[in-house]
Amino acid sequence: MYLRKKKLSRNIGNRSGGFTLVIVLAVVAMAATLGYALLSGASLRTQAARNAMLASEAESVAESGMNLASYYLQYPARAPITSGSYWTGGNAIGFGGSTSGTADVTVAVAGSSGATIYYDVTSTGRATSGTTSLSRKITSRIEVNLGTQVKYGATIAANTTIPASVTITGDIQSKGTVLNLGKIIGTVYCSLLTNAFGVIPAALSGSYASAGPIALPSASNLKDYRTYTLSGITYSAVNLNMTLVADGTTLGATASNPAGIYYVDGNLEIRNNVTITGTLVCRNGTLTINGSGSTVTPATNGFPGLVVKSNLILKGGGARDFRVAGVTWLGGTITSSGIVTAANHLDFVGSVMFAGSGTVSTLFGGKVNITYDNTKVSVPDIDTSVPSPNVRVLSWKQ
Amino acid sequence: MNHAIFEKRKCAGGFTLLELCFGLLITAMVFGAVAGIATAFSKTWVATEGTQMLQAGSRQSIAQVERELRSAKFVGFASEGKSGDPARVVYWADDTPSGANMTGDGKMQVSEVRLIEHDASSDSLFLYKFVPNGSNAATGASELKKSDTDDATDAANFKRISGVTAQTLGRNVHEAKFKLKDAKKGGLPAVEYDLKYDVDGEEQHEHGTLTLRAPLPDPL
Repeated sequence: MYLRKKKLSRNIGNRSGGFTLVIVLAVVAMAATLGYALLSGASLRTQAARNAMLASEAESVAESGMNLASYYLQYPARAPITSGSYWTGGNAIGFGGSTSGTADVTVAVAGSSGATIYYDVTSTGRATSGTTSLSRKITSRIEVNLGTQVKYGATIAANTTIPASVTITGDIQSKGTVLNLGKIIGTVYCSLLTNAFGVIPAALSGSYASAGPIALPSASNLKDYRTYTLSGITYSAVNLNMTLVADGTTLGATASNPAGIYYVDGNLEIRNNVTITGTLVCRNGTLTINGSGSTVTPATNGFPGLVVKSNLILKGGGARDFRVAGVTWLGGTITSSGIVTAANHLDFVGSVMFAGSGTVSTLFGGKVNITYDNTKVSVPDIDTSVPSPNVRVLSWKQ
Repeated sequence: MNHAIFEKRKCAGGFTLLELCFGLLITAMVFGAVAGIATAFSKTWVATEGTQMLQAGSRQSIAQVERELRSAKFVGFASEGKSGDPARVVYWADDTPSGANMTGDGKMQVSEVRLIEHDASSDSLFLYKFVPNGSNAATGASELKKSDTDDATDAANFKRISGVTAQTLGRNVHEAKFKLKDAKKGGLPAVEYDLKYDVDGEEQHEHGTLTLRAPLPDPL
């Protein structure tokens, strides 16, 4: 009897403990469910917020890719071009700062019309955070005018003879025939090349047409540099109002003439050690070099070094030299007067545009050295008949 | 004997009335608290869901408005929707270059014009555009002038063109305003928008400026 009661008592005690456990488990389950719901909701909101942020970042990065493509198409010289003449795009392009997103950009030529080239550009922006990645794509057609592109050491408007005193390091493009008596280290693109006693690799001659449009403004299409625009502001060049630039004169950029453009309306003579940091324009006359140590270097990109509407004359009588580091435009030819020896020389680093009836006089006694340097030939708006450099977005799809 | 009595009391077990009352009270408090928390969560969930729906809806419709207007060539008319006149923006959506024609034809045709309009009665934003159906190609190719897209009457007339249909761009748009900002020197034209969304009393206000990325000169 005692044992039976004891057993009964145990059973009652067990049933009571089980009920408590059930209640506790129910409460814990409810709490867990609520906690899960809470976390799930918070996680969903976090994900939504992250997605919104990533979408915005991807879109911004895609636009940055498009802007980069426009920039490189307008300034191909600044683009990391590995082949061809334009930037074809790149993958995983980063933009620095706190932006982790990258853009994949592809650029392809869609066509051309005259000097205008059309490109199809696709930019896909990607933004990643943890395992979540979003992308946004923009496609666009872009119209590009590069302006005048100088690709040759010398461009020549007429039939010419290159005398023995001339050395050209770089390619040449000529509208007429070329009789070479000098030394040309490069390819000659012309209607007919005759290599009499000169030095030129015969295999490196090509037709004028194959070289593309010639970058050589005529006198009437040459930009008038008396006023010019720099960074959206129009400035006036300075009239030197003189015929002689004295020894040791230094001319350069100023606040009111930031490109340092100086001009004369008649003939001008330059003596010794004249330094011009800017552009010298002889509008209606000749330029005579009657001294040594003088240099002209453009103050800023986009402007030529020297513009002479008539002849450039080297006047003999001792040490004579002159150097231009930039683009030179000549409406006449290079000649000499007096006793000019082989020790006298004119050096052009950049490019020379011979827009007149010849290049260098065969009677020129000194040396002329022309060396093409693609870092010194930016004159996109020198020719008023060529559309100004610009980039225009024709279509935009996102 | 004493032992037997003790055993008997123990065997009777259970709870006293006081214990039971306390037990029930504590259980009630626990379940009450849990129910309170559950109710609070439920309310928060409902409120959050409304906000999320509002945000997702507004984000989606704004993305579409942005896409439409950024790609536009020219905006003829934009209104703030005053005195019963709905807020709307009429624009030349596209002049897609194709084939040898690198720059498009430069002409604004019916099929290239679109209208975004706010309907206050349904709190919706609609996009009206021409949909070709095989027999209305001539209508779609009809050229429009600038003067055909520069006022409220032109917008209303555009909606009446055969083949122009509406699609919903956004819902729960309680108020809308559009304002054209003409290009300043050297800049690009832009459209300012102001949209107020409302879902079950939850409001969201979206304001922004969309700059046209590839505008064309005004059509004649």
